Amino acid sequence: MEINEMKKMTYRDAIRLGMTEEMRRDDDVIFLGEDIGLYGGAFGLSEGMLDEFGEARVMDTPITEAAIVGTAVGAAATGLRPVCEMMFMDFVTMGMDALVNQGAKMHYMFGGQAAVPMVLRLPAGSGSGAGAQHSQSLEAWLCHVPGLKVVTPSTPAQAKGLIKAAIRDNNPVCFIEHKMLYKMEGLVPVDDEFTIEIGKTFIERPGKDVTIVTYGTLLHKAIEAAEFLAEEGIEVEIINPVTLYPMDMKPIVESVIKTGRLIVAHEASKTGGVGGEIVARVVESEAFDYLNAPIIRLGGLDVPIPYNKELEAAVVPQRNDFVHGVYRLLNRE
Amino acid sequence: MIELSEEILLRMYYKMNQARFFEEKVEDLFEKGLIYETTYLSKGEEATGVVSCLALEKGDLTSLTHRGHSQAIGFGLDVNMMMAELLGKSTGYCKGKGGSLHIADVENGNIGANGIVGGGFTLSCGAALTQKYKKTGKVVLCFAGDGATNEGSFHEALNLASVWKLPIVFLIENNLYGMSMPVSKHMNIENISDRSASYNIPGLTIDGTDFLEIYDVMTKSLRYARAGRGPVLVEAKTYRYNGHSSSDAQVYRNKEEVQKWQKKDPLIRFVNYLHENRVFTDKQIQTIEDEAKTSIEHAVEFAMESPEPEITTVLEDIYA
Amino acid sequence: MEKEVILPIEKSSSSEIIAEKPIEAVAANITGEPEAAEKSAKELLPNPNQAQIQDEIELKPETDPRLEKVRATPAARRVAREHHIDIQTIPGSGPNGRIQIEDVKRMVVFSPGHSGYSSPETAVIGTALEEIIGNPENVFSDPVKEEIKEDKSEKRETKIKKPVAMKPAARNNKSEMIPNPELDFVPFVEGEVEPLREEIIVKSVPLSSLEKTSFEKTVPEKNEKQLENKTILTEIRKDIAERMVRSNLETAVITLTTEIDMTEVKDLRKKISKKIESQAHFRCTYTDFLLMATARALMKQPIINSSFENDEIIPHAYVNLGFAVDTDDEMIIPVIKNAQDMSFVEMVKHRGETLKSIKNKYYTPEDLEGSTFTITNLGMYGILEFSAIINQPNGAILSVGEVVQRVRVHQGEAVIRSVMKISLNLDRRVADGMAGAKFLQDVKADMENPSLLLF
Repeated sequence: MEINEMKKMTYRDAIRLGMTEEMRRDDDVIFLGEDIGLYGGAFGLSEGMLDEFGEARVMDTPITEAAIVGTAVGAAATGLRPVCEMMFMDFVTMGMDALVNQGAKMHYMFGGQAAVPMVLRLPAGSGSGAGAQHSQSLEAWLCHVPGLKVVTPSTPAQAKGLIKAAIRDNNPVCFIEHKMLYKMEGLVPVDDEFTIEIGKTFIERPGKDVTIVTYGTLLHKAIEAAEFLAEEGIEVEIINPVTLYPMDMKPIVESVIKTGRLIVAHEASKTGGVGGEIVARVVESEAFDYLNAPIIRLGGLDVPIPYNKELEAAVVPQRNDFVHGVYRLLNRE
Repeated sequence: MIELSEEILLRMYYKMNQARFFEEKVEDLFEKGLIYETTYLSKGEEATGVVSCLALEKGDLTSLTHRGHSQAIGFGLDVNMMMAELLGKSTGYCKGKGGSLHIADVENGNIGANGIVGGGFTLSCGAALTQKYKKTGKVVLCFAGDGATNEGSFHEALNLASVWKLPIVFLIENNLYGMSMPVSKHMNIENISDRSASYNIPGLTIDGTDFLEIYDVMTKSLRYARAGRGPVLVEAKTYRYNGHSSSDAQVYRNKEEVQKWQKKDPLIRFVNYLHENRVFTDKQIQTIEDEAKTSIEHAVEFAMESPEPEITTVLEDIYA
Repeated sequence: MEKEVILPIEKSSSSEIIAEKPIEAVAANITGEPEAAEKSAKELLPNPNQAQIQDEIELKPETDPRLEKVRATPAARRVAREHHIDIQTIPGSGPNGRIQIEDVKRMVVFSPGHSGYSSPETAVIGTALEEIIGNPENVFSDPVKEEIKEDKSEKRETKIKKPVAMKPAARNNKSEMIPNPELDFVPFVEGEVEPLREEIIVKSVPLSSLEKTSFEKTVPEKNEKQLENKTILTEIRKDIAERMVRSNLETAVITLTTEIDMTEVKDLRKKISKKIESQAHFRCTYTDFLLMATARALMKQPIINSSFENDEIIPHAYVNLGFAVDTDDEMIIPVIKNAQDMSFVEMVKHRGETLKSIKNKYYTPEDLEGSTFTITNLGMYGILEFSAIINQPNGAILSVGEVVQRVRVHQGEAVIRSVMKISLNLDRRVADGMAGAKFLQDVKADMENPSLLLF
């Protein structure tokens, strides 16, 4: 097979490109949210989309999250494929009924009638000094609701492939994008049929000594830590679930069987986080008998995200937390 | 005043009777322990549910409430499949997974009854957006109760529907109680239709036991919405004879009030109209009632004979 | 409960029950409370964050649940089980004497005579497991990324190497496609006419009797229905013809014509177009200026804005402007209601929305009713001036010609100006020529000084 052409672009542009390609491809795809039209989105993500698709498809809504999500569910159930944007993931709380009680359950509780092919885009994460109500990572809540799919891309290529797959998926997909990755650049396939399968876990870096499972900005911190550790001869295997729910556990279990040592990490608060679920599933699995050290969870401290820059950084695990975690698992500290 | 054909009168009377017998049968089955979940009966509200649906055109959509049996029958759902669903059978609308609260027939435009009070408003906006976007010329009829209009979603949906001029008619069945809370205590306005003023859309209050008024106002409202002029809020004042659910001791109201409303029973008013206008003979009226009753009895038979769902189906249909 | 307390001993291969190395707290002291012991035990779970708490806890040896237990990882226990090695005989090299898999493997290797070698681990020790490499198929963590600042609290010397790019051979970007036959290959076609790009199309036909057809139109059904539409149309045409004849017979009409210099409007429109579009979401046209000017002039000359019904002249206090629109198969006169109160942006918006609804066949009979005055335009067909038939019961109609370039004397000089002719057809029974002339004068004045229309 020919090597596909790649183009360097930012994570933000990759999401926009993915959406734009899907809207060109399918007239049923519409995009709704607050200030996404003329304003171009709070993070400039949808700049230019109004010009291309017009008001009928790029729909500015009032500040009305409950109605945005509900409208998307209703439209999806009746034949459209809406993509809607919460300006910040924190605001999804205002639309929870429509998402959790309606959209997620509709297909099941109606006995297989009505698909709900919608995408809810959720800019998450701290690091921008936006404070406690604009910096949360609430993915664990969404992963607790059967019927939803929860995905999060960590690179521009993943962003494009995943948003396209999410739009094509016939279920409500929560697409969590990290605000601090928007400006990250990377190579993205230009192929407009390039998608990333939802429900598949990827090994980002192979290794044999310790398994690290993480996603979002922490993935990049983990990779840095792995590079540092590689110089000391420690080979860290890094796994990115990409789809947080329903999660493909097989590569993780296999990796733990190989390494016997596991670190799971995320920016979200540690208590009740996705990491705990991964650990529980590893322990329930065959991998239990191959564990050769206690599992380490790195997570956000159980506090609201503070405003001050230093305080904010202190909440979230940093590269050195990975390094020290690996040392601890290998009894080197 | 609009003209009504004999055919539509016949359909109205038949379906209202079906609805009445359906609820009586459900009550009976529940007492016998054959219906598993608690039920929310719409006895007394047959006119709003049935007649408003008969004002719809083919292809129009609807979103129902938890007290939705009359509405579903009016919209044309199959009573066999409804009864089967209530008994949790595999032949029910939702293969026994939904129950009374989630009866839906999405393919034919019923986007579902809703167990969340106020849950249907924004979904209706979405369904209406599809109609507007695809230029189908179809309208969404969104049912809700008086209590639901205190939910935030009611106001968000009305606002959005108004600014986007979505083809929806919101029909509020005001049965004077939000569970046990009388309307006078849960809102400070006389008529719920007053709330339309905030969204600059038409708001009308009608007698929910008078089928003529319901049909007239609904026909005009649907026409208005269909023409792309935006949503309409209609409030129909009505009454439920049963308690909120089967576990309701009804300490919040007295017998006199129930009796007062039973004198205005929508079915009695309908029969009186038929007599006064000599539309059908007594014998014909009797036949319609008997047919309706038989259809419900058949529905119960159908449901009782239907198989239970396979346990393995519990893991089916999580994702589309 | 065991009474014998086994004190820490060196790891040995003896078969005695061996307690792992107890923490200092255990050996140090004993207290009487069983609850306290239980609580302490809980807190003593290996939580690194709470390490300090351990120092403060006092325990009773009899109740210490850890005393007879071996500290070993699940992997170590499994390998020991598979090789029938008593886990308690293995010395642990991990923290607090924890037995790890390596410790067990060492035992296996050093006692090769051991019976029952059924474990798959033997084959694996030191060989295959270590060689298993990760799944190379993931390529999406592209290593180009933002610079992340060095942590200040970092004690260890760290060097961050530039990430190494993946081998291109590992990339397999196509493999993740989700097939969806229904959606594939739907080409994106630009919509017929974007609402923002709509221009007004106005044509003269006086009729207002489309009630019965407008509704059927909102529910388009193909093929068979189209035939039906045609028959309806012929009926409409007949109706129009009858009305025209009646209009001609019943009314005594006079025509007044004037020329408007449109140059100012043209310039102004160019200047404000963007701004108006951003507010009204529709592009403003010459028609909007004319609608504004007409509405204002009608308020000044209410007699022109009156109806003639049953031999009665009814002047109106409001202006409902009808403007003739040519659609694919018929001509319609939608009405902009209460135009007298509108700002320019509102006018643009209303005109745009009305036109959009006509185009989408998404309107009610009410939208076509109640006009008090009508405007019709044949300019786009190159008609310079013409006389239109009054849309009864209106008392007058304004017909609009093409905007053309002509040499005109402007401020004492012969220059090329854009001009347009408008004609007023007026029912003589409603008003006299004087009122009509004043009306045209007002329209002309506003159009030639159009910035006033914006306020």
